Formats: sequence, structure tokens, C-alpha cells
Amino acid sequence: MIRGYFDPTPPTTRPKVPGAVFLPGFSKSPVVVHFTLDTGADRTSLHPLDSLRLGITPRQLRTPELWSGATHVRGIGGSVAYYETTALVSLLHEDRGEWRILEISADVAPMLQETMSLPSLLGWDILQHFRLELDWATHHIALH
Amino acid sequence: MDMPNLVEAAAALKQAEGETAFWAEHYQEYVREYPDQFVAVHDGEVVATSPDLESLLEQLAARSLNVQNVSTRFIASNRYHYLL
Repeated sequence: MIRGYFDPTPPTTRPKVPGAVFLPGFSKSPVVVHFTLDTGADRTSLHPLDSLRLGITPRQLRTPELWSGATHVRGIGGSVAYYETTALVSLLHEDRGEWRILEISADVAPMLQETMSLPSLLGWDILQHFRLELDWATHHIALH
Repeated sequence: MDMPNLVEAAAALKQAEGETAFWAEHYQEYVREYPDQFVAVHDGEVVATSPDLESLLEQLAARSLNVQNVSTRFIASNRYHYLL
């Protein structure tokens, strides 16, 4: 069981799951990202604060020409070009003490005023590998 | 392909639990003082605040710190609701 939690801090009580993320070519060691669960997101995305913690530089986040891959991410507010990079997301099965490591192509948000404060999202590319339990009444979140 | 060091990952996860507890404990205090700003904490002390992430990075650099060795959160007031 991979355990999540409801983040009690404003603006809303969001369902979160911590994962240790490693970006080959950027990261020196795994960094914990507190992903917001987003069953409506096709892919997992990293937003600037987490990207910086993972070793991507501000210049890289500002410069599309430094990236070989880009993808247009469409949301309620419009469409933004995100960068693509390989990410290794490690999730800990607490009951078994085992790690589940998933290699994905993650969407990395550019450094824009609109993206700076957004949380990183755990999308369907990862969630499809699990059965999700989410119960507000008991404050229980688990991926099996 | 580089692979993550799972010993380091476990240590990072343990440290993150402590950071999560810290932010939950201090969030109400910080939201009064630094609404809608990034707040960086090092050794339990606020070392940089700014509504702009790049400005925060500059403040950290001036103190020989970086975003990888501090704990940073965006302290959202209730003025915004997200639709993700």
C-alpha cells in the first residue's frame, strides 16, 4: 500500500501522494515531490518549484530551445507548451517495504507567472498502474 | 540510464515527513505574514520570502543557499481556488 494524505493547508484540502523523483541528467539524488492526485490529468507534470529542487536550472525552465521535446498541455485556462523529460518516480509500499519504480515521460512546466505556484500533478500515466482508494470521511488515501 | 539510489530516496521520504509536519504547524502563522508568497525555511527559520519564485532564488543565493537545501512552499491564501 502506498499511502497518501489530505494536505490540510489552504487553499483547499488536496489529496497528495509523496514520491521520490529522479530526473536522469538533472538530479544528483532523489527528491520527494508531494504530488496532487489528478485523475483528470493525462500525464504527470512537474511545476517550477519542484523542477528546481530536482536540479533543473531557472535558465533551463525559461528557455524552450534547450529542450529536445515539448508538448502542449491544455487546461481550463488555455494551452501552454511544457517540456518533456524522463522521470523515475519511486513510490514506497509501506506495508511491504518495497519500492515501485515507474519510468515516465513527465511534462515540465516552463517558468511562467501562471505556473510558478502550481502543484506538481500525479496523472493517469502513473495512476493507471494502481487501484486508488480515496476516502475523505476517514482521511484515507492509498494506492494498491 | 541512471537509477535512483533507494537508500537516499528513503532518507528523503523520512525528511519530507518532518517538513510536512513543520508546514502544517506553521501554515496559519505564515499565511498571515506572507500570504500568496513563496517562503523558504532553513533550520526552522524563514530565510527568504517573495511572491516571485525567481526573486526568492536570488535571495537564497545572496545567503549562499539554494532551493535544494531549504524547504520551500507557496503559502496560498484563500483568495485562489485551483481547477487542475
